[in-house]
Amino acid sequence: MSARTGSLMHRFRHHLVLWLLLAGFGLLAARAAQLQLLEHEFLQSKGDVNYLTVQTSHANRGMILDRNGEPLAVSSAVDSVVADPKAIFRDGGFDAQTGWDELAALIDESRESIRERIERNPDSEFAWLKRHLDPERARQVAELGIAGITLRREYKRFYPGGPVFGHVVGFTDTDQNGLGGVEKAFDEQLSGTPGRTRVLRDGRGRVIEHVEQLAPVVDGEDVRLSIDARLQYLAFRHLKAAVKKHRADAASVVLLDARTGEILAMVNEPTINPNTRDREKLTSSSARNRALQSIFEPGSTIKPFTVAAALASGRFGPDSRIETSPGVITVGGYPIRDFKDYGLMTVSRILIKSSNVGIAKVAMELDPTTFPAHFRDLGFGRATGIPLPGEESGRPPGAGPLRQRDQASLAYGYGLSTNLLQLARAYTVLAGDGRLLEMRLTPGPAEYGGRVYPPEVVSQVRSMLARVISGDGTGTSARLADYTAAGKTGTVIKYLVEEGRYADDQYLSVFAGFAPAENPRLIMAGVLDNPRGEAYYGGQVSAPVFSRVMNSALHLLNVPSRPDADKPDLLQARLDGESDT
Amino acid sequence: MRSAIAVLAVLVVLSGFANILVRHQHRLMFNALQTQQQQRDRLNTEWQQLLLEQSTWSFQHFVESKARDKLDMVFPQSIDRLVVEQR
Repeated sequence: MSARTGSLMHRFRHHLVLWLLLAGFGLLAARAAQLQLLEHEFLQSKGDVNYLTVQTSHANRGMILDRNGEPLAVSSAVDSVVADPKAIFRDGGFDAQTGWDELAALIDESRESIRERIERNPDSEFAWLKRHLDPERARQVAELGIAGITLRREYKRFYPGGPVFGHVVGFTDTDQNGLGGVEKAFDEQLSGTPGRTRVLRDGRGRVIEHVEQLAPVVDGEDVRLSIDARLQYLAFRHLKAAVKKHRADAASVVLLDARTGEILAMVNEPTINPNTRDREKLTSSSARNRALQSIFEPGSTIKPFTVAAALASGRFGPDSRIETSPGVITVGGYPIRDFKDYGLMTVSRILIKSSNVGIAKVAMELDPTTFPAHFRDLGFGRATGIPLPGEESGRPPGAGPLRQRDQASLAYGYGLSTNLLQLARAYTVLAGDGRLLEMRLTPGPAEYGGRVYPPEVVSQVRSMLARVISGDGTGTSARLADYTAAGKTGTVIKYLVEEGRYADDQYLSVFAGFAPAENPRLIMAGVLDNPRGEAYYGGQVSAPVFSRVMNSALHLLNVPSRPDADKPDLLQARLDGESDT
Repeated sequence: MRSAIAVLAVLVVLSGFANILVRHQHRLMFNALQTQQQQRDRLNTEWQQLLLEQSTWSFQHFVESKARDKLDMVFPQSIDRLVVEQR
């Protein structure tokens, strides 16, 4: 090989390498240009889907608390067990894994039902094995370490008081949306807003970086109610017992703070247990908050207002005499009857003995326009406006001037309808100084409506109502063991709405009153629907509920019981007797 | 001119290393944050469960039945009570 050919060969190789390198660079540049310039957007979006995602973080739902901070509804974390059938089959199928028996025991399912659920849909990536498992067991499930079995964090609403607070607190669906009661009424305040964060994930789906916060987590706020859990339970227990004893269809009780109008207890029977999440039951008639959603004619519990109107008119005093013999009168072709012939009665006695004839005669002397109108001032026909859903506000008496017959029946509580809470609200006028107190479901100061009666009329009516209970009135079984009380019973013939007539033998037994009589702290109204025992009079059926609930409630609130002159001696005698033995 | 370029080159290298360091610290702190958040969630969960447990145990019905049936307690009748007036 000559030097010349050698140098030629050398030059050729030199150029070859150079061109090859250039071509290589050219290819790379072209590919880069293709990716960057032509397919940039497509690739970028692909990459972002894999690595850049928006993560939502759970906002805790607020608690519902009673007035003393006792929890009535609490959200708590639970874990649901989820299977990924696709992953399980990728790893060799159901039988290639161990630990199924342990899992079955932990979630209370059989091995076969787990197998069935996984093999039903081998291509899917998701199958529930167990919803809402408590976290301790969920931890044990995780420790089994079965491939394809994971936990999913969920939240569940718990109601420590269960059926006692059923209607007031309400309930939520599985996604914690409020569906009834306070849960629905305060849903917005309770639920808060979930947080949203843009995050970067690695190849295995783990979050490696928070890129930006799109919205911060705002936890739901707690809602504090005016309800006192202790009083609510007390009312619930006694109401339930009374319903059972008298075989009533349904019953309700509301208990108010006489000084602020706060609702301290509101119970119904039948009730619902929000913990059971029994769909059917939660939408059945048991789910009705009767204290707010059932309307009825209040009957004799209206008589105190008729008497107050009569006293306020100036035409009657407490001792004005009315002839009620022979215990029946006919007004506009309809007879009005008394329990018996009471003869000549004072206005006070008419209220104490609950004389229909007497009260009708009084009412017919009153102005046929202002008398019915004043029931609107007492709040009848106007919803209480508390935030619970579904309130029925009833029907106020017709605008005057009323016919004699309507005026007479209005005097003893027919011709207007009310829900139980409205009736209790009307009694705030008599328990206070003659002004109407508005109802509150959350704690707060008193909010007054207009004045209905002058204070001196109120104190006269109040002392009559005290004698209904303490004297020989119709409400003696409402007497409290340790306190004075005032109130009025009512036995109302039930109006059958569907049939459009009054029932022959179905009654509502009503009671409304307050205690202590001289300085009222609590107002209570109760109704038992269709008691089917021997007893059906308000005095026999609902008055004892008043007595028991009221007495215990006043003790719980540390209201001093009435001083009883001979009691210390009795106690002393007992103590002496015991020390002798 | 040449020395200025040299200084800038050194600065570029330094800021590169600083960037690595900061990224690393960010990673560590982010992990710590996540651990703390998990702990917060765990404690929250525990607190909710304890709250539920407490309110279940202290629920009136439960206390009352325990007091009546197990401890034979009764509500004092008016005859058992003496009202002392404060002077």
